[in-house]
Amino acid sequence: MNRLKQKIFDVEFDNPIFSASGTFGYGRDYEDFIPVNEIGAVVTKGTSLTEWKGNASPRVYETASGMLNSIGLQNPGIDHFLSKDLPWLVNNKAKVILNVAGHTIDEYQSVVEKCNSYKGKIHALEINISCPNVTEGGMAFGTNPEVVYELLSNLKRISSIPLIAKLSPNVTDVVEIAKAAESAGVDSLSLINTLSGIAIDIHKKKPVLGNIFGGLSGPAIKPVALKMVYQVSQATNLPIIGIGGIMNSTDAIEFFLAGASAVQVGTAVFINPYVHSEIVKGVDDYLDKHGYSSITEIIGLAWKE
Amino acid sequence: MSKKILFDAPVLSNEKICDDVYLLKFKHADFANIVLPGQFVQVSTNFENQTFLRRPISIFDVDKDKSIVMLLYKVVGKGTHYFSSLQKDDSINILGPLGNSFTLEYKKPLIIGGGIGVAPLKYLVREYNREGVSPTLSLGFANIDQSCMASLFTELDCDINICTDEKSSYFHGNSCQLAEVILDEENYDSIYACGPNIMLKNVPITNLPTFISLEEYMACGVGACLGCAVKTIDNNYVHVCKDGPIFDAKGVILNE
Repeated sequence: MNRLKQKIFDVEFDNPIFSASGTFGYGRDYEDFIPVNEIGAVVTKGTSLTEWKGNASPRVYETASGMLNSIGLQNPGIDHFLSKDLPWLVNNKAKVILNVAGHTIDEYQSVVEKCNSYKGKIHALEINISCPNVTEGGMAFGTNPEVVYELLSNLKRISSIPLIAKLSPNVTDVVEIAKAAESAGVDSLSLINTLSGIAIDIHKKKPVLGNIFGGLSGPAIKPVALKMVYQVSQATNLPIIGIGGIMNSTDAIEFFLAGASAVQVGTAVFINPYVHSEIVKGVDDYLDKHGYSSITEIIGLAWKE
Repeated sequence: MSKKILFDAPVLSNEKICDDVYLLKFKHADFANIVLPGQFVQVSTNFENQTFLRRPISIFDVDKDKSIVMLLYKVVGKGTHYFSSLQKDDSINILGPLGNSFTLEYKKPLIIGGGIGVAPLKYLVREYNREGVSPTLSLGFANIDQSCMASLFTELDCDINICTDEKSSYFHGNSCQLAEVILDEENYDSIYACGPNIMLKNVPITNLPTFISLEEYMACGVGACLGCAVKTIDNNYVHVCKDGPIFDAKGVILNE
């Protein structure tokens, strides 16, 4: 039997190891290494109503145990996704979580409306209210609990597909934001997005990134992410998808113990394109060795009595 | 495009060619068979000295008979410093082959290289030789020490022209200035160039097909993260790892 199988917001996932938005394109870039149906779910690049071109170069820069990026949500737009990428993902039997971005509430709503008729092919919409690299939208929607509530309750009212709110760590109190999202009626929370940061070129004496600020990802942010999952999973009744610096199965298991029902593995795939498969196997081995028959038995053990 | 593979390979040698520049040879039969001129690899830095991401390195040359692949690289930071410490029988972890490749459809190409920008050019010359074509090279270096890189090309059938920024016995100037002189002497049917962007901005403007190989900060190397963006003349972005590294010189706007 499959110890890793579980139902989250009424969708049955073969395993709880997902890709992370912005690190896996629409699934095809790593097809030489992992078939998309072997990943718990493919979480797509942030996708908006129309094509977004993204930010000026340089867009990525290595930091100690991590990297900064300021891609700026470059994507071909929702119509391109629905006509070109979704059929390929469906054909390859992927579970699909579409990450949704917008400049305005109207833009988010239009994307959600276009997706409604693809229920069952798109298994969930991950609402990006946490991208630090765009001036309008993204994180601007994710740092004020009233704005979070307004956007998400509007989207929940019109969506036929389960909604996940992707939360930003760049806030005073992530629990307050999580509760606002829960009261708006979303089905799940994913956290964390990148931490806002900067790098400076000491020769040019200017910021390295074209966009000046970027989002920090990689193992450098794991303790921060783990803490927020530990807090939010206790403060809400929603299933939590843990994200942030997961490099191997030990990291992933920490997130399950902290209260995550699933995890997303992002930056690690740039270094190891087999990382998702290796984590699936590592988590399964851990459950077997410790006598658990289901992943659900270890969720939140770090704080449960 | 051939399938990408991830593999460990034994280092055969890692020789210092001149100041800061090393030639690393590794052995891998499958990879040597599929890699094309102009392509690159992402080499693991093994998390040495707080490095994290892989480093994109050009394929310098390939000996298909002996399954030997050669990487020419300059030590510029922590990642390449780690590469320079590798010794015979150490293992390196490689992701590749990545990116597009040079076209081999011309009969009289002029190939321009600046400094470590010569790195993807030897395999190009070698494959042109297999087509019976002898390219002309304009290779520019900062000084006499760096011009040692040119000696790596002498085993191939090509006309090597060298220049240095510092005064020396060679042509005094950069590889694009030397290329202008060469273009005046004979008729060429194509131009290939690789080097820093400051050099590529000065590649002679002609009506010849002109291909430039670009570098950019890179994370994934496979087209997933969209990090290595270069602006096009129609105000879109293309990506060095997947759309490149080789572009039509007239189609892209080089970053400063």
